[in-house]
Amino acid sequence: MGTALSLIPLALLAGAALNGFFSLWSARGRSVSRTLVHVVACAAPLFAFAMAIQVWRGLGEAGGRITTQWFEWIAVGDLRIGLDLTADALTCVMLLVITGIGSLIHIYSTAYMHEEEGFARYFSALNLFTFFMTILVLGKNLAVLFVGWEGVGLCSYLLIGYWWKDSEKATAGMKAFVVNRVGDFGFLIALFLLWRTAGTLDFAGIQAYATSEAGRATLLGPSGILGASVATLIGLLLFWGATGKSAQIPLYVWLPDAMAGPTPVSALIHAATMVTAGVYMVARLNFLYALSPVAQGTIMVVAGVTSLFAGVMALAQTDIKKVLAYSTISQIGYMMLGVGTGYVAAGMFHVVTHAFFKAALFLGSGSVIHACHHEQDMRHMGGLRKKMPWTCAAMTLSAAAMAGVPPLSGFFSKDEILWRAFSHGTMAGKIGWLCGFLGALLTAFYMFRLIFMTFGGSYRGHAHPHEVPKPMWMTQGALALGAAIVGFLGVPHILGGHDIFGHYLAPIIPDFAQPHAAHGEHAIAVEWSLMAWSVVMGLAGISAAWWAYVKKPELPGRVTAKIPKLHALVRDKFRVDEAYTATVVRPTESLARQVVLRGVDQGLIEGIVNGLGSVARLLGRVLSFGQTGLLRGYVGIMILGALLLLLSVLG
Amino acid sequence: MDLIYPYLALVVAASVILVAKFRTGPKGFAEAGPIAAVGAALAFGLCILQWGKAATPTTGFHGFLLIDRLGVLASALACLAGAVTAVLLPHHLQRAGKDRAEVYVLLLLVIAGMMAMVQTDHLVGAFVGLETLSVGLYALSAALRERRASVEAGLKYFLTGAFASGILVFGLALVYGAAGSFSLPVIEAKLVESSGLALAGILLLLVGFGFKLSAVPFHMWAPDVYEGAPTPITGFMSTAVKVVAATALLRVLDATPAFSGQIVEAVGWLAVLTVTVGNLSALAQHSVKRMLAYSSIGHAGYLFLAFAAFLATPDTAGFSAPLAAVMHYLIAYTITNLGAFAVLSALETADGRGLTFADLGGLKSRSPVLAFTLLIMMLSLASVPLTAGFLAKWNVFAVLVERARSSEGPFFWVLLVALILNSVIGLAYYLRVISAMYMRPAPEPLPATSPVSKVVMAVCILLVIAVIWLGAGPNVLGMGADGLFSIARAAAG
Repeated sequence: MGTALSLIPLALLAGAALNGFFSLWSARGRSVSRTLVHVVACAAPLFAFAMAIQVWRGLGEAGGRITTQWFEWIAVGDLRIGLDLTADALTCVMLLVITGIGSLIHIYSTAYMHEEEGFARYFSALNLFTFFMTILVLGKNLAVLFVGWEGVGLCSYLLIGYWWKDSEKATAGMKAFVVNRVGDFGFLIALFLLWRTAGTLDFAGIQAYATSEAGRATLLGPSGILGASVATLIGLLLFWGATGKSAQIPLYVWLPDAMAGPTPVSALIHAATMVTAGVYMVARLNFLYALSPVAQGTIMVVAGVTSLFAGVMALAQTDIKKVLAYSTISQIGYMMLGVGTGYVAAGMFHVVTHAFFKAALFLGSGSVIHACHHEQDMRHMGGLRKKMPWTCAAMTLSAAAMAGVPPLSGFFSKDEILWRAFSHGTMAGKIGWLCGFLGALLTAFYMFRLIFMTFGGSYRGHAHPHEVPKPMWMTQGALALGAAIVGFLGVPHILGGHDIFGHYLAPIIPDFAQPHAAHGEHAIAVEWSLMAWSVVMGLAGISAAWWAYVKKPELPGRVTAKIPKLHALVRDKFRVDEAYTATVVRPTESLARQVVLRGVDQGLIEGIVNGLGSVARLLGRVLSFGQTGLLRGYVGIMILGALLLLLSVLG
Repeated sequence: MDLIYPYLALVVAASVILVAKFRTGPKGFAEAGPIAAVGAALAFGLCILQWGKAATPTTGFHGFLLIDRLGVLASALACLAGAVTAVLLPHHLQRAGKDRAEVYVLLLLVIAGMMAMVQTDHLVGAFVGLETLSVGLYALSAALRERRASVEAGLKYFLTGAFASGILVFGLALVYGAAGSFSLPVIEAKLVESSGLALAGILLLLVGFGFKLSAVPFHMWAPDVYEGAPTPITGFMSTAVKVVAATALLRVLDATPAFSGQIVEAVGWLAVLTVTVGNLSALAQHSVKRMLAYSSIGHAGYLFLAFAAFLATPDTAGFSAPLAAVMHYLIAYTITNLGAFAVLSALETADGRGLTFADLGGLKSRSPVLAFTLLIMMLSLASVPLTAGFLAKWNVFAVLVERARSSEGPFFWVLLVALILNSVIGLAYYLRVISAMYMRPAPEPLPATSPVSKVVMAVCILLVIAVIWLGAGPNVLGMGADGLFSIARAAAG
């Protein structure tokens, strides 16, 4: 079994290496067969998917955990970090999603990227991304997880900036990279604290530590910072890292810009897999979060507010991919809310269902953009229902799943999350629930706004849209079908189901046996009424979208005309980007330019800053002011510094 | 006698070049570069051979020579930097139409001076070594004497350096006045109690070595000199000089534990000032060479952060973690910066241009090897995981956290925050290089670079392998990501 486990990342790495080689080959002017590149690119994830199924089937026999050791990476004193891989139920869920949906997206890409130059480079990066993603979920310790965490970020950067000739896209890639680094610093500090506290970065080791008497006492003890316990401090720092990768407030700003990359990349990286890494990490360390109600509460509130806030921003977008980007931020908010309750199966279930419907929606939007000749503005679409029937059907089905129409998948996963948040018994849980509940209305509205604007009415553009090639509509159809039925894995008990998914993940959730006993007999009544209300909210959202965009198409214009300022604010994404620029980016830049460059450099060494390029000017200045004048400044500063040093220590 | 084999290798190579130059006369001596490279590489190998024996320190030459692991490691790094520089120089000098054999003689003697400076626990010995290397470097900075910037760099370095040496000697005198000896073990035994005289002396030594390390506010010379000097020499100065100055300063600080408590805060604030000024200034540069000059000031700041942790760590038996962190940092930084300067020296045009960010545009298709080398070096300087630079900075981070947790007051937390914030700033300008090479179009017209020799390419590739291997590789023959920790710890033992 260990071999199958190792083969998953290795197959993907081999695919990346082969395609990288083809890419270099074609860069030297030699021709490379497109078919060969496509076969290699799709065979790697398909093989990995087959191996993932093997691992999944063999898991029960192996006692719920399969481990394999590659080699010892760092071993210094008491710090031992091995490149070890492990798979348990949680990993298997992620692996099947990554390789399964990943394979479909690779197949879709072969048709989508048909006209692009440098396709081998594209597929190489896509394979490499999938490799790092599997490393991220397979890591036996946090250091290996971090390698995957950084690796997917790097590949995301490469793929967003794929059309690097376009400077706007290159900037978007850079922005994603830099924002994620801000998150990574929190993550790194957390890793360090965890190692100092538990003496290991191994998941099993940390869990053993967190459940031992002494370890529990230390983790619950004070950390010395703002009165937080050690567990809270570590949990919050890790969540800080997760807000970067999983695009939560306040670090979500990179995701909408990341839509500059090719659409299949958005489907794979920015919807189905990478952005859920933060959710996976919190789920993986659920035993740590169980020790810190403060960290759990923070996650629930931040996640809830993110889901609502991003939903509002999605309302006013006209770019089809931007709508999906904000909707992704909002949906990851639901996942975080789910894992934040401590019952991680709820959040993980939404990871799975979301992977299906959001990947289908992204691929569908890619088809629409492809058909409309790179038009992304929904105001120039419409009436595509007749021209692209398959795409229309797939996207409508997925949108309905996301809006929570029973019995499609989104209905089951979202309700599970909202119920768990509601019955969590804390104020944070209630806030998270309220935000998520209102967000459900917005979700239904903006998704069907997208559907009606794209497929309803008559065509408003100037291209000649047509149905996309077979590999494209078939893959999106397969995903939409999955989005429709995968929900039956998690039918709750009150609807006569068995919650197969929840039971599957039970071994990794410590308090599975007694979920929220506090509610007792009311629980069933509460669950029923919550479910009914969110169905009502979903249907209300869809009806409102129908009313506003089909029945009375002039209505949205009239409404926005009445509240121009509010509409502009929402359309401009609450100007958060501008606020960040004004408060963080500009001051740093101007500090660099004004204070240090002008004050220290130019003030003292006038003109020399331009260096070799202006030797003539330099000589002119040297002749007029005298070389010694400049050097006197240097030496003066030095002597002054020495004197200050002496005075401060001796005086 | 066997203690000085590395010195002999250097001096013999220098003599061979000098004699041969006499015989060939004014028409130049093309083999000078290879001879110097072989001499420095041989000295490097001989230093490595001394490593095993150096576990038990040996003294010789009337107490002027001390062979211990700290000194051997620093010497080996200086020899390595010298060998790489000797490989890069011929390309650089020939393109500028120069074929100067004396440059290589100076280079070899500077390395010998560096070794003398770190392989001693006698302050006069260290000072003689320091002057040997300084005088040689003044001349090397001005090696391209037709280029005004080069001459100016040499002159500036000389004049400011003379002041710094004066301060250093004054410090030596004060320490001698207080302890009655120049020998560090004797000083350690005598100065058990703090005295104003000795404290002032130590602070002046700090200024003198801080000048060589380009610590703010003693850094003013560095950007001009680094930019004006021939590019391979800049690479040499920004690595080898830092290695030996840091090692010598560590020896002094290690021998004066009675004063640690009094100077730790001053060193800490110097560190904060140095990282901040270095990184913020680097952000605003147009020339990559000048950016790297400021970046090297920033890296000196990270070293000073580790010095502060070193001073605050109680003297115990066994190895000192902050000292190991400094040595680890020096190894990683030396290899990385050498790689970066190897690429810059290959890209520079005959008239010293071609090193702005715009000039790097589209480098990935013009020269994939150079672009990839610079990419890896930038990632390592930015301390991105899986590179040597990451583990090095992680070490500094670790010792600061250790101090912050075990000492009272927020001082070390402030240092920690400075480290983290500056690492983020650093990322911005290192990534700018990568973005220029991989995402910007080639400049019009293209800078007139000349073809790069296979040897330079090979050195680039070797340095890339070293950076990745020392950052993430398994141990082979005791070297690897993990082996580097052991070596740094052994040197600090």
